[in-house]
Amino acid sequence: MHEEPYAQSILDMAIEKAGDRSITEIVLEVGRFSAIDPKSLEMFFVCLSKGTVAQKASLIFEIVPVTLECKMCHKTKTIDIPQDRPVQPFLASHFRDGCSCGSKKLTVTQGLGIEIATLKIE
Amino acid sequence: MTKKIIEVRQSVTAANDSVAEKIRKCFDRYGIWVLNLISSPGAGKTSLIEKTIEALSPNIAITVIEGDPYTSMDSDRINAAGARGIQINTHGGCHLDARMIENALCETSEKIIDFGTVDMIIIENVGNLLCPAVWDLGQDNTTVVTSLTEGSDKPFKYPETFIRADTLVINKMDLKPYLPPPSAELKPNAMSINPALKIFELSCTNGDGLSDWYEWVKMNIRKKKTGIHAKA
Repeated sequence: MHEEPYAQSILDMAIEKAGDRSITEIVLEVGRFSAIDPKSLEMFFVCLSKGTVAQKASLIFEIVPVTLECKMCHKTKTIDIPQDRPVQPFLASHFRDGCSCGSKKLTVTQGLGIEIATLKIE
Repeated sequence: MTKKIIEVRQSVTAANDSVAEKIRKCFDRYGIWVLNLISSPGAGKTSLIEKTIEALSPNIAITVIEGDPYTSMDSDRINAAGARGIQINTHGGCHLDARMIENALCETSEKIIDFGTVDMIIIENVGNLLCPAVWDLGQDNTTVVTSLTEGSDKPFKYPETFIRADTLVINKMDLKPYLPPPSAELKPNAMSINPALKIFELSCTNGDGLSDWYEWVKMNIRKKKTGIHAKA
């Protein structure tokens, strides 16, 4: 249910960029770790965009995987988690094992949040 | 008509983030330390704030912004405890955003509080472990308040909140003797996904562990003030 403010924000940002031209496609990069359900976001977007230049826009979702960075040696590791599986067990095991340099200080640097990548207008 | 692709590459929360930056600058200018408290309903956020007011007032001037779907019950508790409570009702909304904070503090450009007389603002977010973490409110620190009775699995069920926070309060420690042993795994579970969390184990009922929390709060208020003096 919490996708409504995201849908509104996407719509506002897209309309501002497009001016008076109509938007046909919005590409979104969704972090694997952002608690966002694309279907719910799409439903809100369809409702909110009626009567605007974005009403015919299709939303394309690109999933951004979770990336961890070691605070000691700055090595990064991207975690491939199947879409139908929960994130936590994968993440916890990486935190438990730590980095190959022996450090346990890892932080999540990618895979949180949601970004508008591109818009297609005509 | 010609088709064109526009590169945006901007976070969906960009509009919120720019308001948050604006109010953060205002807090910085006045040297006000701002804390965002996030928890599930009933973990003890308001009790922790009441205790903090009792311990630090009147030497430290505290203003509390209370976020709740409905009622002014929490801001009434804050006013009764002796601090300034400002209530925001989200009418069903599941989190606070930066614009709500801006409106609560400066309605129609009229300042509701005198920033020069405030040392600390506590924002008590809507009781919800999922959404509030994502929305920047211009705060300096983000504290997740959990309680021992909630079950030790919360960091795994709501990882984003525990990852984005810098501090964790585990409340209701006085109930430990009555709870099954797995409840003690809350702390290691939280640390397994965010090893950098600063953790306070306390009880707002019997007062255990609260003095460390007060010291941490006072240290941050001092640091924020000195930051201002250094900049001046």
